[in-house]
Amino acid sequence: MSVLGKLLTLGAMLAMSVAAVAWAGPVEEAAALFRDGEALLAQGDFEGAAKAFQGSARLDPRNDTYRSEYILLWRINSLRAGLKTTTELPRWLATAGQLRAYYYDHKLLSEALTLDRERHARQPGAESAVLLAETQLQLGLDHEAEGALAALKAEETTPRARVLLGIALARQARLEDARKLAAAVALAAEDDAQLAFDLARLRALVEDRPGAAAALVTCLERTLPSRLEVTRSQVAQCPDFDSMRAGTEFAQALRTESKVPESKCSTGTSCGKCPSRSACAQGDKPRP
Amino acid sequence: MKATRRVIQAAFLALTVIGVYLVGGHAERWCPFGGVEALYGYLAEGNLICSLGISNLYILLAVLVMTLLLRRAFCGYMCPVGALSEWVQRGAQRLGIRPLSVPRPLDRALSLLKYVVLAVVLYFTWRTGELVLRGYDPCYALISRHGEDITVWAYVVSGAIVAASIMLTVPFCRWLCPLAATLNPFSRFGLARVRRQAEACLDCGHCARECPMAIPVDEVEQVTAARCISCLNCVSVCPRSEPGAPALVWGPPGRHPRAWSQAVLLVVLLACIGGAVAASALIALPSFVSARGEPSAHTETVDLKITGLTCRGRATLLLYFLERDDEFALPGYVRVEAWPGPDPAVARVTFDPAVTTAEAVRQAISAPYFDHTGNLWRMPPFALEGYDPFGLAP
Repeated sequence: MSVLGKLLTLGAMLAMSVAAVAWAGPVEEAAALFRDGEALLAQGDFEGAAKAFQGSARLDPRNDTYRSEYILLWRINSLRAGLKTTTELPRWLATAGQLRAYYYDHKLLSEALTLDRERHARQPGAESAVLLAETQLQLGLDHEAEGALAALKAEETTPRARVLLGIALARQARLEDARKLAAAVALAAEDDAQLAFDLARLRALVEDRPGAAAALVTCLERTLPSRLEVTRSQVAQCPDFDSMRAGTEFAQALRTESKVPESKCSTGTSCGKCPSRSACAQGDKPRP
Repeated sequence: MKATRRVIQAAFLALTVIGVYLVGGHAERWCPFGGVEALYGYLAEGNLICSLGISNLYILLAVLVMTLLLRRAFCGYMCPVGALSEWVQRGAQRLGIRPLSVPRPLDRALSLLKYVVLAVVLYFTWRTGELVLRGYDPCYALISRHGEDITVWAYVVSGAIVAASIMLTVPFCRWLCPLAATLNPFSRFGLARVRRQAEACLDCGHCARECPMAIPVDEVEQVTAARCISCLNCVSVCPRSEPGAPALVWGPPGRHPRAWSQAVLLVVLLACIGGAVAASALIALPSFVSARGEPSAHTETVDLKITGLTCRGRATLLLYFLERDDEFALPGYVRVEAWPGPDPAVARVTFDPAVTTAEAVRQAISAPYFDHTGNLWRMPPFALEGYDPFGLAP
């Protein structure tokens, strides 16, 4: 190769390297900024997290995650601001419900706990006690959860309240009381996946493994197909199932498929392969 | 005449191949049978089957007009499947393989199959509102660059058509093509026809043998068979008993046969196709329409360029965001017209300005939505070009 050829090759390689660095620079920076945002969010700095997410979305506009997370947080921040000024109770409760879903999705459980405590103070009852106890159990505040649920009068209590109380007791090694509560709850056809999930946890804690596996199956069968993987991941990470994790019935239960029909846009470029296309064509409104 | 037709067939096939493989065009939107499949949904619900466009309806209309004037000339001159099938047979003949002669009763019986195919395709398409059978469609396999929902059966059917074309004359066109079944009732009343002047006819039978659609041209006074593709093979092979007195002429009906030249046919073909193309460009009707509530006396519209509005399913999803029940609810939106397609697609929202605003429409489409049923947040898959309330512009 001539000297000129070598120089040209070197120049081309240099130009490609510069281009690669120039392209990779903002992408790396965006990723770092996004991680910063996640850390700020975990610390409860919502405004700081929003700025970081916004920065990452600006630096890497092709990344849908950055964009989505920022836009969602933008909405959450406006809801948080609105919650402080809302005096009308139904509106406050609706906004709190939306915020709580976000907190749970992003594992911001201390935020959820604050919200649930305020909700329970504003409108005490079985529903708010269950929500509060659920978060307390998530945070390992078993004794507090027991307190919130045990305070409910007999006529106020619900199957879910009894199940969560059972979990709180079982975790405090009061297995006999927990077993009695577990035996008192049976899943009905209209019960949702959440109750089945909690009952599976309770049965696993009181070492009723077949019962826990059966409840897990019901839970997954009643979960929306689009949420199935999230629920499986929750089950896999939940320490209440530790005693039965090694068993085959647990693994088998986790493979259960949903039986819930779901109509939603598959977000593809064509309806050709969409599993919901028939429902869509019949005018059934899809879920985003 | 034959050479001219071959050139036209080759030109349309080349146009299809270039359009699909070099330009990357969406040839499915120019398929007249797509128009047949889309028609019911468009009339009943105001929206087209996903991946089809209003151009399918224009090209269908053009082909129907063409058929009323020239019978199934579309099949004889423009259809790529027909062209390939004919060429395969011609190649086989050059190799010394003679086509099988199908007895007339069997040919008639087999030709009924295409109505069954048409009924099956339309039943499933109209019932599901989707092109559920296109994965088996040999033509779609060609024009979709192996589309995402193509099945191996599309290639099996393609291979079967090619294999059958070696031994039989245009078998798919004669017996199975659902577009042929659609055009036949119109073709029956086609204006142009081949007429035989018995006094000049030598009864040589060349015309019937040369007809790819197996029409007994030598036995009729005029060819009114719906399956005539106006190929004019019969006219071109007709030996004249004396100069200036051809036994077969092609032209309009009438007591005194007038001969039209093949140029008339070409002009009509091109005018119809050109008309469809021009109509698609000039009268771009929306392929998705949804109206809500009573029309207001005074309305305004907002035109939106939307990223993510790729198909009819997404257009339906757009409605979901417009009909949300949170603080971004739009009480005054009355109509959505959309042209789903590659980014950015276009949508037009009509609203009552006394109740809502264009800004509210944009917000409703862009803001995340809380799904109470699933108790979770749903992100809109859309982005509006030139609208950045979130401060995301670099």
